Amino acid sequence: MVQSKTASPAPLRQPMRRSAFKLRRLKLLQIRMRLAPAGWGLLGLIVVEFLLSVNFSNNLIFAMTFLLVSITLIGWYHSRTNLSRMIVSDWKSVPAFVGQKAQYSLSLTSKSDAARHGLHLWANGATSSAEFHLAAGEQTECKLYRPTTQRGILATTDAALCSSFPLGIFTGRMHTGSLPTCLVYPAPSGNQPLPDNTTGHNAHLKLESGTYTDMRRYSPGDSLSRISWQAFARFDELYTKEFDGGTGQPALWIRWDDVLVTGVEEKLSQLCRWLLDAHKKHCEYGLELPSQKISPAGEESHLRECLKALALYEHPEPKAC
Amino acid sequence: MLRYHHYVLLTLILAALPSLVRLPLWVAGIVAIGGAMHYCGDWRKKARGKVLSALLLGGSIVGIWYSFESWFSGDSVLSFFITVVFLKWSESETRRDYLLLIFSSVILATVGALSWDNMLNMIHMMVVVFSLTISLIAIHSDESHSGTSFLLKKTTSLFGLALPVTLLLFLIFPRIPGPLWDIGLAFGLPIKAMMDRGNGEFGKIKTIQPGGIHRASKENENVLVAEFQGAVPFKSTLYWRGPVFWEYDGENWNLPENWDNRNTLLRKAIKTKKRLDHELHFRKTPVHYTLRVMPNGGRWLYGLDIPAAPAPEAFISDEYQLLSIRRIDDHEPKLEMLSYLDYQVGVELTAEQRQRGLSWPEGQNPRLLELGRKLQKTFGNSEDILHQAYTLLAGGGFDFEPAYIIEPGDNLLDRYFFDEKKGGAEYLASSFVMLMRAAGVPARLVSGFRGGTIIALTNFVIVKQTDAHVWLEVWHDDSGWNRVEPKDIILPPDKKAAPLAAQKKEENSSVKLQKEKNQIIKDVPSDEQRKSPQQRANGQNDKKSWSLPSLSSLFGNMQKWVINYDPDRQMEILKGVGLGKSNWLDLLIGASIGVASLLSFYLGIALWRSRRHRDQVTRSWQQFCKRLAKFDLQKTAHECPRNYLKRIVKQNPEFTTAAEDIINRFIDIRYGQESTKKARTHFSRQVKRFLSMT
Repeated sequence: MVQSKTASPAPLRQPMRRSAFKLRRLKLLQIRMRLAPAGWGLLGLIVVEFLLSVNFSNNLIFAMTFLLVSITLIGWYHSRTNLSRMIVSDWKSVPAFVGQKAQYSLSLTSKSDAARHGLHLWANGATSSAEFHLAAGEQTECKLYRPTTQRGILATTDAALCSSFPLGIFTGRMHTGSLPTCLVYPAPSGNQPLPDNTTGHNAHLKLESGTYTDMRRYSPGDSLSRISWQAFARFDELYTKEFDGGTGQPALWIRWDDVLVTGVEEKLSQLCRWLLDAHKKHCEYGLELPSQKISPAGEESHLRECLKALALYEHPEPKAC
Repeated sequence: MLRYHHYVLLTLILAALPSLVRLPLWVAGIVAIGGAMHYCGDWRKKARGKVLSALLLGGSIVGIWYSFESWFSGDSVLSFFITVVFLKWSESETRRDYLLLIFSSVILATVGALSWDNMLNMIHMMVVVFSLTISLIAIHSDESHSGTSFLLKKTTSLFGLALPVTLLLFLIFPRIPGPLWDIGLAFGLPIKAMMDRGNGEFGKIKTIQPGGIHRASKENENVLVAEFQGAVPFKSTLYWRGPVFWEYDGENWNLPENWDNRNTLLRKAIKTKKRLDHELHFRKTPVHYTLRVMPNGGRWLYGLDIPAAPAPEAFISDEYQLLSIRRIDDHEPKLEMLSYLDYQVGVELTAEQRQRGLSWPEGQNPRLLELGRKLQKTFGNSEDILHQAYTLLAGGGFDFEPAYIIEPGDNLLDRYFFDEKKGGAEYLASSFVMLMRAAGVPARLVSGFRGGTIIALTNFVIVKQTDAHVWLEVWHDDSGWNRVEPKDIILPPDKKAAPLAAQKKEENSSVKLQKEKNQIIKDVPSDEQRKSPQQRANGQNDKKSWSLPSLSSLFGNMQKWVINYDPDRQMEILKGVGLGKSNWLDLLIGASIGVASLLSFYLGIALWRSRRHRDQVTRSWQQFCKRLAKFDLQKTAHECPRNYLKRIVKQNPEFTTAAEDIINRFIDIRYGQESTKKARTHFSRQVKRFLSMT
């Protein structure tokens, strides 16, 4: 399984940040209350009871009808407060292979003094998570899964935090923002052995040290050893040193043309299998597709880049992923 | 494991309890087996369990066959329903199944409420809804939180908040008087199509027996439908005039042998407008209406007292009844009518009529006779006699009990009037007729119907057998026949209407009661003395119940306000609150506004509480930032306090000292180790100081 990655890269979000933030705030405030199926049942029951009470002029049935109505009204408020004062983070998605379930996760924080019950996440076409509860002030990470059937990009869809607690008459639905797009890699399959064409190509490892080339601002994830401590002492800010990289071991080339099976999807599946096998063997490898060539490397991000190239083969580049 | 099913079972059993007590024992047996089968684990899912379920269902059908007369009688349907519900319980597994069961328990409780109608049932209903709410919460809370105390707490809070809303709705929500199927009548459906025709023979009655009115009133058969033009008059003023009785044999009132003879009737009928105008010399409150009468086997059209217009196929008899020329056997006459609700009718009494109006069964009711003679001796005037009789009646401690039957035999009315003092309309009216006769005032008994049911939101009134009633008419030499309603004297329509009614009566007979009242009471010493101890006792009782409200009186009041609450009482309350006449739309608007304001009151309290709980430091900090925003120093969401401070110092150096102090304190409290109460108060104080300085 590959590591998780944030849904939307920062640079794209930057220019529209303010308006998007406002919009999200507005949307988050929106708790929509709907009658649950049980609520429709109860509504029908109340109508029947009312007709009965009118018909028989029976005060007990009147009282019961009105009691049910009042409990429904109060229950509405209770259902609503059960979702209030919740802080929802951005969704995160984890790429999946076709046939696997794409996993989305969300961090929920309750800012309330009271516990929250019977919560569950909902999204179009996703399997609903089991009901969970949140104690006062508690934070939790919840997950949602969507089935994948096709390589490429799993489109965004609306997602919400739902709860029918306490009476199940109303379902409150709080929008959590859309589920982000998610990359779906081709399913690894095919039984061709890993080709052994390493000749003449050596991997160029960017992360290896070599000649110093440049200094840039530190960004999270940079290796500590690359931080220029002199610069820090001088400017009180972190800078990362950059090098031109080094030459690695002889690289394995995984080529489109080496795949014997016919059919685009089958070929991609075989390539995927090879990529994973090569990565497992800790060798350095490059990918050559008819439209694209990725120079050899061996780290995790390289694997992801290669898999992404497979996933998006002959598909247009996604806008926000 | 799912734990909520216990609550569902509890709800079901509670809801079915009143019906189980009433129904045959085998229903309870099936309920017990069905209830137990749920706990049999996998066994019930296998073939044997299914066979047992089928057998129980079959058993219930056999039981219905043996226990009840009809497949579709209320009890047989109810038994079947209970069986099905509990068999469903035995195989329930999913949340949906249990929801279904909970809803059916509401129906069961409703049916229970139909058969039992008292305060105990009210409590039972509350308990059922409470347990229903617990079940709903248990079903919908995640499994980690299904402890009984948690559920009880949650349900109690829901219930406690819902009760005031319920009370409000109960009191103010517009009441539409039922039954709903009567609405069909308003839109022209034939009366007999709507209801079982029953025997439909009530038009053939020739005698009125003691208790007969009560027997008739237990039948729910429709008699007629009237559509009024304009507003419907007060129900208590609607008298539907039927047979008039003169002959009393000591027990029953009888019509003469040949009363039904068409020729005689037609000969005596009031045929010309001139004669009608002549006889009906005092008339007030005209009402126009359309009458539809259900076939009743007789000629009675039961026109509103007193009919004053001709109609096709109908005539007004010399006793001022509206009669049909043909017997109403299977057709449903429909006629436009005019009646006067207040009237004095008749010009002169023939000698024969006077003799009939004064006739007395030989040797019967000597005490009544004696009292009448005494009245006659004391007061010469028939109107004074009538008023004295009213006074006797009002102070006599009579109870109106329609179901009470006095043992038949000699001196029936004596025993009613002097000893038992309770009974239905026929005893009361009969004894009043006889009292009048004894006092030399010609009187006769009129039977028919009084009141009716107004169909919601329309001008239709439906009169049923339930409304059967008898009253009387007495003859005053100067004004003719006058209607006398003794029931209103001993059972005032309601507290406020009572003085009004008395006033009306005063007006009608134009006697100055006030002046003579004291004198009258003094003049009849024997009766008054006999009554006084009892009255005194009553008075004492009253006092006691006021000073020390016992549990039973509280229960009685609840009974009055909850079980017997009706549209009239609703109006009474609204008048008490200061609202005048209100129609259903006002009520609907009032109820909505009331509920909305109650709910916003709850909301307000919830908001206030959440605000009170907000952190003091946060509040002060927000105030601080808000004030700085006025100096164009809005704090952005991503800005940390230290950067904010830098910006403040740069932009408004005059704030440096204050802002440094406040922000450093904030940082210490929020991010350092300084979150003591003292530090927090100090922080708030500094912010306050800053606010007052800027």
